Amino acid sequence: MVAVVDETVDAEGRRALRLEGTFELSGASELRSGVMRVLSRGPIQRVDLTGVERLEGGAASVLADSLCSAGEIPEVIGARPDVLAVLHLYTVEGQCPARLPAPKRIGFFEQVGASTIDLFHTLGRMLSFVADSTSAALRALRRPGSIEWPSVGRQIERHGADGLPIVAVIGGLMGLITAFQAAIQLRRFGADVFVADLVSLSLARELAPLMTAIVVAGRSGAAIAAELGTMKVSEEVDALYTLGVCPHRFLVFPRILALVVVLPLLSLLATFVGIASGAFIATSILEVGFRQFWISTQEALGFADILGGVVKSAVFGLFIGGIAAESGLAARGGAEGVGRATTSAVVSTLFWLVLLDAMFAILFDLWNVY
Amino acid sequence: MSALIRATNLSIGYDRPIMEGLDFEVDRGDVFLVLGGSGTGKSTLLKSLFGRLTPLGGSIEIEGVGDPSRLSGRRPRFGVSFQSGALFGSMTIAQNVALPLEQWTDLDPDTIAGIVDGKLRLVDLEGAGDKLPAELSGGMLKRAGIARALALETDLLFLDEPSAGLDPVTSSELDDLLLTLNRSLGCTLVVVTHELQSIYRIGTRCILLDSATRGIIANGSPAQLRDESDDPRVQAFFHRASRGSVARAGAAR
Repeated sequence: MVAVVDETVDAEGRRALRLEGTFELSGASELRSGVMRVLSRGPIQRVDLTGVERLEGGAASVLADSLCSAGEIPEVIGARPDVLAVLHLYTVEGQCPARLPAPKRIGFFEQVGASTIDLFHTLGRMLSFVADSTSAALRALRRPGSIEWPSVGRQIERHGADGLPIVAVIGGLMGLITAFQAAIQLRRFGADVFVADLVSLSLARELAPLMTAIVVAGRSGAAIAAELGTMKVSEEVDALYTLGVCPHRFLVFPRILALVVVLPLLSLLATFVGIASGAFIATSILEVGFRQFWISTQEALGFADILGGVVKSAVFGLFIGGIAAESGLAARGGAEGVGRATTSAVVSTLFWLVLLDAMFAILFDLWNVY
Repeated sequence: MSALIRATNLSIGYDRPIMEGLDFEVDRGDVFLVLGGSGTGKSTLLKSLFGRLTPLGGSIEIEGVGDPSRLSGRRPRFGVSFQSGALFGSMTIAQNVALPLEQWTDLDPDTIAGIVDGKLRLVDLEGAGDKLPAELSGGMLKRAGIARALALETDLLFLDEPSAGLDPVTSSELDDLLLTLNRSLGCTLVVVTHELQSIYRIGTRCILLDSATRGIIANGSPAQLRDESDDPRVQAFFHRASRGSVARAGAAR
């Protein structure tokens, strides 16, 4: 049956909104515009539902809401009990529900202010984390027996040994790409032999530590943030506090220590695999023998280059572990909070890795390390 | 009887207050219930009581402890059982229960293993010590959480919704356990719950929180509040009715 929305005026001059037919969710927009059209012509005193065969919940909600936009629901007449019952579900005893105040609009300056306060809160939280973790580390150094060594061992296995294949593959590919690029350029100048210098130095100083750190940040940093975040939202961290166990000593310190230990080792592995794949490319497409490549590498690569990469990797490990653990322990609000913490950990870590790498480049140059 | 916990003009919440001006006392030996509907701040209050959330105002004093938030990092003076159990997923049940003993006592491993067995027997989890938390049912997880909370022989226990999500039989068994802890071991229990059956069975005193007024609207024994209070909100809670229907019934009388 076609739904009709119109108005009637009785003998006493009272205006009424008249509905007739079947009103379903699919026709809710037409119902709203019809009711609003009638209301726009002036106030109504009655709602005549005599001809309404069926009123679905969605339509009843729209009808009540439209009528309430004029202030109140007028007297409803002629409605069948089932129709009236549905309409009453969307009203308060047949009257308009109290309107909630419109949410306060947040202005530009308030948003800037709130973000600034948030920033200070985040800085405060990070400083507090650094203080707690440093205190846990100092206590552990004073009493090495208090360190959860089995946990450190498990973390080394998880973040180090389990990450060997991917780090080796990435290191190999980096050596291969560098050697290819170097080969193309150096061949033009007849300087083929310098490919060994370029591959070994760039890998040991920059590429291997940075790429390994990026892989570990994506793999282990995300895992640490997600693991600690899940422990936080499932109240396991609270439980540790109530047992008098410091989460920084029990959870954070073993993870950071493991990354500080494994990252230099992984970086060294990436360096050697990268140099090996560079040697393979150099001997395959350039007129450089393996022995010549090996001698050039030995001459070019100094102890300071390897040590610089190792130190850099250890600092990268400290930051990856620290940022991931801090993000995880700051997680709030269930699965979504854990997701946010993990994303934040990876993004922040990548930013810090690049920043630290730049700082190391400047410092090593100032100190004449290379 | 001396007050074991005294909350004075307490204001709790995260960024802004959820509850304000709370004044109440928990006596030694009580099974003190914190009641209220969902989202009223029961668990937030409990977190403040055991020191994991610093109050926004007012004070909490626990006899022999003082301000519970200053207890962090020191030997626990009370146990806490969390709603989900909050057991460490990478450790077995026995390792979970043993953790506080390993941290805070000089007992040898065999003695600790004996104590852990005893605690697990107490909560009817004998033989489950080698299982991981993921292998246990909801009721077993809660009992394991209670065993861990009891490990250091504390005489005050905070429990967050111990019966939530459990079937009636398991819930009743858990109530039996809580009564045993209270009556046989003399543990004072502070329990957050809204399970009516548990409330009448185990509660000696309770407070009812109301989110609209952001405060305590009733304080007394559960039976007393059910039978004597004429506050429609209290009646609605204890008779499992909507506030509207209780108000209408009151108006009709």
